[in-house]
This record gives sequence, structure tokens and C-alpha cells, in this order.
Amino acid sequence: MEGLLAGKVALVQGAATPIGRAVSAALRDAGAAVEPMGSASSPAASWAALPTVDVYVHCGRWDEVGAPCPFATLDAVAFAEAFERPVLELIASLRAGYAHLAKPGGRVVVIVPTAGMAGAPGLAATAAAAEAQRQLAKSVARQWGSDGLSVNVVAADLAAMAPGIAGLPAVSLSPPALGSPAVADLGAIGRLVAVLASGEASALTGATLSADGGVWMAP
Amino acid sequence: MSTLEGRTAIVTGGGQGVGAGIAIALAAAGSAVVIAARRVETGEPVASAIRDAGGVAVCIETDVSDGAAVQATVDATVARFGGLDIVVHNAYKPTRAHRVEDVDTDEIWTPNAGTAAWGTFYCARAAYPHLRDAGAKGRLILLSSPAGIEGSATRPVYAAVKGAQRAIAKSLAKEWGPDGITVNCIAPVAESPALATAFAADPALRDAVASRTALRRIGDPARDIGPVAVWLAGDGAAYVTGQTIVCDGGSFMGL
Repeated sequence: MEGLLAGKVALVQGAATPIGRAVSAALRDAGAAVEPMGSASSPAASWAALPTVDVYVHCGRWDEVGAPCPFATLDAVAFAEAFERPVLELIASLRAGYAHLAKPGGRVVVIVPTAGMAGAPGLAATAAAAEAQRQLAKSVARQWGSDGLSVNVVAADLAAMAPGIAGLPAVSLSPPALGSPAVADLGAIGRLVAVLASGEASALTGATLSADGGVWMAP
Repeated sequence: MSTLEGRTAIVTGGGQGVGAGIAIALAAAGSAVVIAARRVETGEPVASAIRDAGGVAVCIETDVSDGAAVQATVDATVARFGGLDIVVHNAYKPTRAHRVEDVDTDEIWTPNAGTAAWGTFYCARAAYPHLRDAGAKGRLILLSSPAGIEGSATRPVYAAVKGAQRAIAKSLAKEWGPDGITVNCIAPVAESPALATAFAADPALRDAVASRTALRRIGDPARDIGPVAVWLAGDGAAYVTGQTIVCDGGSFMGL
């Protein structure tokens, strides 16, 4: 990993979350200068402070996901918070960041929970936010590819990103192929993000990599 | 074919395109149908045509991005027909093509999310107690899109909200499964207002879309999509839930 991102500038949204800390550490270990995004609700200032950004990682706020509850009991405020705000924050950041991403060669990585692909009883709005972000990332990969920009998604286990919440439903009938500790190995996810952020992943865009120790294997 | 005899369905956006095709097909299969249309002038002719063909249908003006309006339509449906078995949420307000760096929240996000995502939330929330009462006959069917599976080079926000619907369907399939309710998506490529908007903006797109299908044609709402909704709504699909049925003439074959 050493030197993989030497001389690169990385902006990390959600740098204070558990996954954000792991990603930031891995990017630094790979040689990048890492800047945490100040506020996800007003990302333009963070982008504007960096004339050129080689790597942008959007970690989200998945650590803030609340306990599962029946969808039919949600009020509009709760649906807006769980679904709409996370998606709008990603859109706002991509919108602000386009002018600042290094072209060609700039790399975007969006981190979502696998719950968006698997579905999650009691967390439908969160699953919707995750899948909306994933489809947005694919779409942006299609739009920005001609600029030499790549956009990829890393899907991680929600419980690993939000260790404080309980009662999360199992994603798969099968146990993690690599064993339970691999599911929550945020350091390993961070190193995967570093590889995706590097020139080693130049063939990849619009892809989703499930970094959950071998739970979600569809399709 | 009267596979849905005695059942009651709401079809949002039932006044045109795919929604109209589904409403007509459900009615032909024996279901009473409420056309929940934003404009009565489009919804009522479909309801009238169903009645003229011997079916049971009414139109109720409904803006699916308004939670109170959706609740009122569900309440009126239950009051009129004594229950609610099937909800098909198809209503969607198309927007212009856009790049993500140009997305204006009011112009692009609000119509897309308001109809597809918020509309799904409001329909699911209002319908759930009645679908639960319907038990193994309870159905929620969401009209998603292939763009919600593979992204869209021209409409990223559309892809996002259509993907959101698929995740909600999977989640509610698990959440409501113990009640016997099934929740599925249909991802069509068919003559619809949304596609018409895209074709108007880019006339070459029609041939491009048609030629990408294995069947070399764009689907017809009543003939190609309606029967799939009838199947999902009927007893034959009682063990199918959390799925997206891609009805696109063989364009997308990702699974």
C-alpha cells in the first residue's frame, strides 16, 4: 500500500464515522494527503478549499442509522431523515465537486450498506437511501467516464458501520465466508478503498464491491 | 379470466401509459379498480372505459406526493369497496435529462423523489393496515425501471429514486411477509409519459431503445405490462416477493 497514492489529495466525507476513520487511515498509509470534509450539508466550501482533488470518498452517515422500526409507523420527518437527506447530501457533494476533481484520473468511491441490495425489514428508508446512492453512483460513472473519472461503490455490512445499533436483521442465510471478524474489519475495507482510489483500479467504474467478508454474493 | 374477482385495487397514475394498461388489465381480471390520478380529466376516461367494458372502476383525484391525499384515497377506497387488496404505485412525474453536476433540487429532485420515493412511502404507509387485513391476497406492486438496476447516463436522479423503490420493495417484502403480503417491482420499458418525454427530447432515442430490446419493440402497456401485474396480483404469484420483474423486451439481462 505504501506509495500507492503518493502525491494524491483525498477529500473524505464522513471522516469522523467509524468507516471514515478507517478509510482516512488507509488513504494516509497509501501516501495521500487526506482532508476531512467539514460539513456534509454544505460541501461546496470543502471542495473549493482544494483546487484539485484526486480522490473523493463519500462515507455517509450510516453510523447514525436508528433502530429498526415498522415502515408504516414512520412519519414524514423520519422518512426525510433516513432516505432523503443522505441522497441529497451525496448529490450536493458530487455537484460541488465535479469542477474540482482531477481530470483525467480522479476517483470517487461511495460507501453504502449492503442493506440496500438485500433489503432490510424495519430499515426500508435506510435501504432506499443506500440503493439510491448506488444507482446514482452508476449513473455518474456513465456521465463522468468521458472525463477520465471513475465512480465505484463499496458495500459494507451496516452493523460494521453502525456498531451502536442493535437488532439488525441478517442479510444472508449463510455465515460470512471469511468468518465473522472479516465482516467488521473496517481496516480491510479502508485498504480496499485505497486500491479503488489508485491507478491500479483504472479498469473499474460503475462497479459495486461487497466488502463484507463474503455475506452478500448476488448476483 | 376472473382471477381477481372480489378484490379491490388502487392504481396510481392510472390515467395514462403503463398505469392505464395495468388498471384495464386488473379490471378485466375481475378486480374493482380505483384510478388514482393527479388529473381527473385523464383518470376518468380510463375508469369510464373500464365500466363500459363491464368492469368496476372509479377515479379519485390523487397527488401521490401529498401524504394526506394518498390517505384520503385509501380511506375512500375502503369505504366504497369494503377493503383494499392490491396497490399498484405507478405514478411518476418525468423531468428533463440532466447531469448530476447540474441537478437543481426543486426542478429535478422534488418531482422525481416526490412521486417515486415519497409516493411509495405514502402509499405503503396508508395501505398497510388494509393489505394486512387482506392477508395472503395483499399486494404492493411498485413500478420501477431498468434504470433503477443499471443506472442512467441521462437521468441519474431518476435512476436513484427508481433504485430506492426496489430497496423499499425488498425491505417491505421481508417486513410484511409474515402477514402474507407480497411486495414486488415491475421494471418496464413501455410506451409511457416518461418515455414520451425522453423521446421528445431526443427523437433518435426511440429507435435506440427499440433496437436494444431482444424483441425489437417497445412494450405496450395493456398487452405487455398489464398481464404481468395481473399475475403478480393473483394467487399464482403468492410465493413471489421482494423481486423485480423486468418487462423490457429483453434489454437488461443482468441476473
